Amino acid sequence: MATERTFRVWRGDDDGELAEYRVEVNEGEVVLDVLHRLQATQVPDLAVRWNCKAGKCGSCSVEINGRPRLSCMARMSTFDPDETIIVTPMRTFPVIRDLVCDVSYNYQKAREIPSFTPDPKTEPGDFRMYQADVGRPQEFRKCIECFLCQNVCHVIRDHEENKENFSGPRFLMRVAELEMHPEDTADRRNIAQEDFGLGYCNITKCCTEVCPENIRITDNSLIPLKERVADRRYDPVVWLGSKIGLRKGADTPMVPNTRPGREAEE
Amino acid sequence: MTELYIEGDPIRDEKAPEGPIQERWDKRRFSAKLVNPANRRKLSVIIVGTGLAGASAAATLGEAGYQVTSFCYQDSPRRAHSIAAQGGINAAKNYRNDGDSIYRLFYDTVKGGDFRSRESNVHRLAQVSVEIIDQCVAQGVPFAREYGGLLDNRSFGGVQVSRTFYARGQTGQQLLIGAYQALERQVAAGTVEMNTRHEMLEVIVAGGRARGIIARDMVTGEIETHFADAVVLATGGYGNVFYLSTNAMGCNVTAAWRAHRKGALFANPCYTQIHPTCIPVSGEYQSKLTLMSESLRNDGRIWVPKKGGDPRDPRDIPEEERDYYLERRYPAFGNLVPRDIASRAAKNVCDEGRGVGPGGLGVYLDFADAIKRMGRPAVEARYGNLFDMYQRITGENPYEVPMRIYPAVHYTMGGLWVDYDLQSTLPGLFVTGEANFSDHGANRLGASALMQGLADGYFVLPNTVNDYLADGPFEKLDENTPEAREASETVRARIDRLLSINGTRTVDSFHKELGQIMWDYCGMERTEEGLRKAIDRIRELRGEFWQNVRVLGSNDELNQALEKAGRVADFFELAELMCIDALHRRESCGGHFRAESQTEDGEALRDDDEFAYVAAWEFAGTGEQPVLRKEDLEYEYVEMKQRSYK
Repeated sequence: MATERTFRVWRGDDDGELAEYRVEVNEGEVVLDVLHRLQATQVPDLAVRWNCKAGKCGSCSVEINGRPRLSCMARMSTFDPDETIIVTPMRTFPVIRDLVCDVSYNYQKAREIPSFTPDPKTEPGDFRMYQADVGRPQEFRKCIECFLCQNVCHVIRDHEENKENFSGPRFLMRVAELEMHPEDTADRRNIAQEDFGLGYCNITKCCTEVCPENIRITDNSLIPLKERVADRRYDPVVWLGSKIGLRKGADTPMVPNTRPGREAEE
Repeated sequence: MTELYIEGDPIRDEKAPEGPIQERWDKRRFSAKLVNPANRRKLSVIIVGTGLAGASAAATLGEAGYQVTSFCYQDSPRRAHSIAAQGGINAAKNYRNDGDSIYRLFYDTVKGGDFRSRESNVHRLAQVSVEIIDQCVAQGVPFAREYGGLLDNRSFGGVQVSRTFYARGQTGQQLLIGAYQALERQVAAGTVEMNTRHEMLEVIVAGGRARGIIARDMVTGEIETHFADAVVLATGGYGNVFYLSTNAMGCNVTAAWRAHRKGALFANPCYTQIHPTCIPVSGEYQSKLTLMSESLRNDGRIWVPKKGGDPRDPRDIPEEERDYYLERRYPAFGNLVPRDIASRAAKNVCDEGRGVGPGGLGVYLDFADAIKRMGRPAVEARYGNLFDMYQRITGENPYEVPMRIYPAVHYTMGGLWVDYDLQSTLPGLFVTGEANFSDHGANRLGASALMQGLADGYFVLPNTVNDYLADGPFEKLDENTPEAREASETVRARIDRLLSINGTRTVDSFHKELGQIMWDYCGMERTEEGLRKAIDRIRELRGEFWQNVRVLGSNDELNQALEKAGRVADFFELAELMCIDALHRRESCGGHFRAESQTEDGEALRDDDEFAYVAAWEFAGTGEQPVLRKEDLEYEYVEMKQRSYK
């Protein structure tokens, strides 16, 4: 059941262009299979990053007909039989070559978040936690770091200048995950707002829409995190309590030495 | 057969102390030389690979105060293939009170490995397993909990107790996030320097010690030289020599093979594990296979129609016309027999012509009974994400139609030979995780790979590497040191050669052909005749590769064809050694099944008188006869017997 299809694929770096190919497609294939056939038969030097081909490693993120997708999970059968398939690299990040982007911005943001901080008084095996409490942060830990949500978020997609002060949905979700863990003792609510740019998010839910793991990023992590931040920063009772010293526990700062230029500023 | 290899002097592990097995690890830790914290800052360690074994080692050694430089070829440590492990991690916590103990985990692992692993190492693994769970809980790893809020367990193939800790079907991912977080914390603290998108292409040996590596920056093509007082390889297994495997596309043997060429012995290369539950091959251009967690065998029932070529929808085949062949042949273990046995049984029923699906290469894994017994929500809670994955990949709904599965290459028990300290025969070169050979013998039990990777990285290596480093820091080297220059020139010359051949065949076409040879002759069933044929064909194909491969582009850019060409070139040499190893081992054991050596029931038949040893191979030059060095295996605590899972 082989058919011939038209593919237009990005070649070159940021200043590259689309090149058109006719290529065979078989039943049951995904876009990545077809890119491999292109590599094998017509364009041996086409750069495509992939690794696990099971939707788990998050390497093969691209934009297919303008939609951010994992190329290993995009079934050819979901396109119209005569539809031209346009494959481009993720737009939010610099292109290294062809379909491969430099996503190091994300790893930079990951490092800024203070890690899990359990109570040092808990002895191994003592700590009890209910499956419901496990399940809540675990939804966010399904994340495969494909960065499709980062790619689609308009705060940085269209505004390069926001990158410094906005961590993006992936890492705000990471903050939410740590904040929701019952055994965690750090308080990241203040830095979520001040350093990671939670306030930039205006809940358009684009991130949720493109998530290949179907994580409800906006509803289950970003909005609850916004609520917690509002409680910490804007509740008058909390404000008064901390003014007169009734509320203890300090804000945890961003991990030191992780944001370039930060020390010079202060 | 002697024309294929030479037998050299035997080898033995000098590091494991004598005495009762329970005390050996404590004894070794106590006798190892220590490095005081102020001196650790002056000592440097290179760690290649950032999966569970590499990331945990880098984080722990960084935190201890050594200067660590870490390398991976991916974008981020987060992309390592440990992420794909689904089922769980074993630990002898005995939370279920079902008769588990450190001794039983030790016993099960030795037996599961078909009596081809080292007792001291396995016992240590079982001891340390208990600590891993506490470590990971403290990192926030979301292990499943039971109703009372304590950690839950399930059972896994090849054992009769529940000792597997799990985080839905994403255990590897969750553990890796934990190790990655610990690693990134050290990166931020400045104790670990991270080099992503770097591929190690050579090891530098100077003054008889491993002192550094040559790595290629995969974006710019720059060939870099890095030095350290010790080098750790945590570079995973070599299953991709078969082309189609469940390993990630990037997994390769290059780092380990380069070390082998420089003097590290390679042990038991023929021990490969074929995993019984993978999604079957679907087409000619397929580049990779996908694994379904073995935990599915806990509740799923495996069967084929009694008659071959049954065209009916599986749901219409009545109970009495189905053959639940594992339950029939192994009533005690049923669908939970070890992987090697389950795989071969699937192959046998397919060879009999009773396989299902395209090409007759598949068997059913059926959840109808489980859904009837527990209800769909319970099945969903336990296996939901696996079912989703199956549906996404095959387009079929496993809640309604039985899954189709077939065995695929999955894990390699062989690897670089290491002593009890995890040090290879090349002083200063340590090997951890799947890249070494040490703990699984001829067959690995389920949920033991995560355990071994983390045990090596968090607990073993940080307690043994100090014994070596206590003699450092070693002489300072720079890029003009003759050994470093030579290593770097070798790398450049090889790249230039690959780029200049300019033949007509793609790298992939060679890899695919090599993989087919390996699968046909060195896969689930091996024969003397087949292996000999394979060796001839591999040699021929390797010759053609170096004459006729086509690698476009240049070195100074992102060049995936070039990366792959280097890896495939090393696979050729490894493949030949695997076949020689498989040929010389004229017995069946674990994942290595020689058709000439089987019981009347078709089970693997060991020959303990002649083959109770580790085959450690010394490199003698490309195409030259490798030297076989035997490490005798002695069993003091476990009695060797024919494995039986009936």
